[in-house]
Amino acid sequence: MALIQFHLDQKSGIPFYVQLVQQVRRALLFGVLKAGDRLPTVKEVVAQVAINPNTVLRAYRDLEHDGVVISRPGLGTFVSATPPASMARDQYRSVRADLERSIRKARALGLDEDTLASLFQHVLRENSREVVA
Amino acid sequence: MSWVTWRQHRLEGAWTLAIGALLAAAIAFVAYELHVASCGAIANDYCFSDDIGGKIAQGLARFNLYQYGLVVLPALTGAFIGCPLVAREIENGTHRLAWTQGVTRLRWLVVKMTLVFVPVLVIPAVVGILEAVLINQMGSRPNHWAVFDQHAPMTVASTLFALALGVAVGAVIGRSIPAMAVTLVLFVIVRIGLAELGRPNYVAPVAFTTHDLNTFSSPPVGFPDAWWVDQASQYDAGGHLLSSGFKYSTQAAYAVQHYQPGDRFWQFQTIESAILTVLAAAFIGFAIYWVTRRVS
Amino acid sequence: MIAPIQATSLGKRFGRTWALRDCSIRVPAGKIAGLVGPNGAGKTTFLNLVARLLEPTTGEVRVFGRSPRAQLMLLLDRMGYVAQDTPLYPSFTVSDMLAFGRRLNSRWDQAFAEQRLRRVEIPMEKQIRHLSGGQQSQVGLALALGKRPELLILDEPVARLDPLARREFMQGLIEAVAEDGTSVLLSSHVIGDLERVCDYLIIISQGRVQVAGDIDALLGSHHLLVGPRVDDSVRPPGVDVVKASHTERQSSLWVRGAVPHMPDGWREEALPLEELVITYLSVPGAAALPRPELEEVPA
Repeated sequence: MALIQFHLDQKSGIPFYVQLVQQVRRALLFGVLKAGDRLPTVKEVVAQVAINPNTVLRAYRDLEHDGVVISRPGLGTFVSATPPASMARDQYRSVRADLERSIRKARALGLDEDTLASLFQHVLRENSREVVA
Repeated sequence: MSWVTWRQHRLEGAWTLAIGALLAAAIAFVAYELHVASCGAIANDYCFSDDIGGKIAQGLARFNLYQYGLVVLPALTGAFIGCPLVAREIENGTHRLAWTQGVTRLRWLVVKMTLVFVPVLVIPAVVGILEAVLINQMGSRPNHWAVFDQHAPMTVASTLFALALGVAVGAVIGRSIPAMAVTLVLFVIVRIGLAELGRPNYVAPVAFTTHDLNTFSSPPVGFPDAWWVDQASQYDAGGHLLSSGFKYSTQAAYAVQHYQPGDRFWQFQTIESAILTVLAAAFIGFAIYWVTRRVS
Repeated sequence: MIAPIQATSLGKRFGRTWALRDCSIRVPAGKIAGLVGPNGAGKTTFLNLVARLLEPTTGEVRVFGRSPRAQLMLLLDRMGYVAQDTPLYPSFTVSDMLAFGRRLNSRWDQAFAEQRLRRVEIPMEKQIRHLSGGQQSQVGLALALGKRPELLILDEPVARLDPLARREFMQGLIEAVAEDGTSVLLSSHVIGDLERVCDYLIIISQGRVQVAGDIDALLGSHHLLVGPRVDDSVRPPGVDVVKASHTERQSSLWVRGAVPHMPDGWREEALPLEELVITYLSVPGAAALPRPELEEVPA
């Protein structure tokens, strides 16, 4: 029985494998996945979400590269015993606080919600591309 | 592939068997009634007894059900069984299913034709034999020529030809109903062509000549099992043709009419059956060529 | 690894109309390839040529390196094909259809086919004519998968299905091929269907192949650049302009290639796959493919 379930947003413009990576990280963040837990197999993911198996493999490879998970051939992919520091709660709170500050500042300057969202998407996309490249 | 063919055509097979059995029963029944008729057989004519069996047989004979049925049936068989064999697959798109499995189109078509045609041909064989038996109940020298198309080798050969024509036309046209129409037309043309133009001349007809024009009738008496292939022609003393078609003329010196004698019947059956069989083989070959090389 | 499909200058003419012209593509092994294009673009013609239902007018297409007429039987055994509208025999039951597959193919995994149908709860004794469109598609797929093919070809398999049936079909398809690494080529005129599932994309328009490549590579190499109005003849260095569109104040350029730096006033906008495909379809003359190297296959 798979521990978590993935969901895809086809319209967000975010590559699917990135969405999978993000969902794993969020699951870790909120304690749904803990160290040593086994991630859903490629087959399980594919049965939940009609998606190319290579996409899942790529997501898991990326997570392994970042030290978040460990792949054991024949057994599956497992959350590593010591996930990297970016998973810590206080780091999350700190980023969130920064974002809240920026939003308050932007609103004070008169930017409305849609413009703000659009700006955020733009910066995020550019940043994603730099990360990937 | 054998199972697939059976599974696809089993309903059709059941119908054909039922109709064939019915027809065979009708012919056998009429033959039996003729045989037991107590009124004494008259040359080339029917005579039935007065009981209920005889009356039924007489009814069947009057409608010539079994005779016309036998002429029309090969055509219908070719259309209803031959045409859809390939055409139905193409018009329903199932050829894209059948021809992408692990069986070549050649094997697919050959097995289908064999397993469908061979059992179907048993029926014209049986009814053709029964018809010959029936005719033999009529008189001491029964005239088989009148029912040339209803005898055994011809019924089989003409049905085989119709089936082959149907398959080929169906494969080319790719739609059942238009293929049936074309098949029926072509079949009729060939059969009539053979019967009218070829059959009288497979072997040169015998000429019957008489100088006794007073007792001459057309056709002449005394040849109960002959087939008269033309009208009487009258010639004058010098050998000039006076008229064809019997019109009594005072200058006529002698009359000539041509016939095929009764003892040539089976020879002619063989010849025309062979012609139809060769044509059938040609159409089957064409169907195979078309299906394996041309169709999409 | 031999490419499952390799077409060289492939062309097909029906009467006087060219349905397909000068198509050269190489579909790599182990990929789920999507074939996309408007109706009448030549998708079905291409698939029928691969499946050997049609003979090419020009060029050739090799499947697993085998040339057209050679060893057709071997080919049919290794290739599963489901035609448009999933043709089946209406009077057959589901189990009859599987028996059909078993009898006509030398390699047949009855258990696998039955398992696929059990997963989607299709009763074996029901007649095909009494199944819904979605169920018939599943039967057609099970029939093709029962051969355990190395190449699976599907012609618009979900065109007539409702959204749920469509999702279930795709799920079933991917699950079945995930383990074996079966190469898949499926066509659709709805790009959304393909986006989740395909990692290779072929765009066909007006009988010609415009694009053929890995989706990741395509998305990475294509960019939509928006900036102040420039002249139509302006060509940024180092990239090919697929399409240019201008308003009074602004120009949008769809380009292919690496964008070294963004000049002032220019920015890059998102270019999702669907937009990429539509861009190419709107410019029929544009093409993005080099001629593939043909592999030499020992006869």
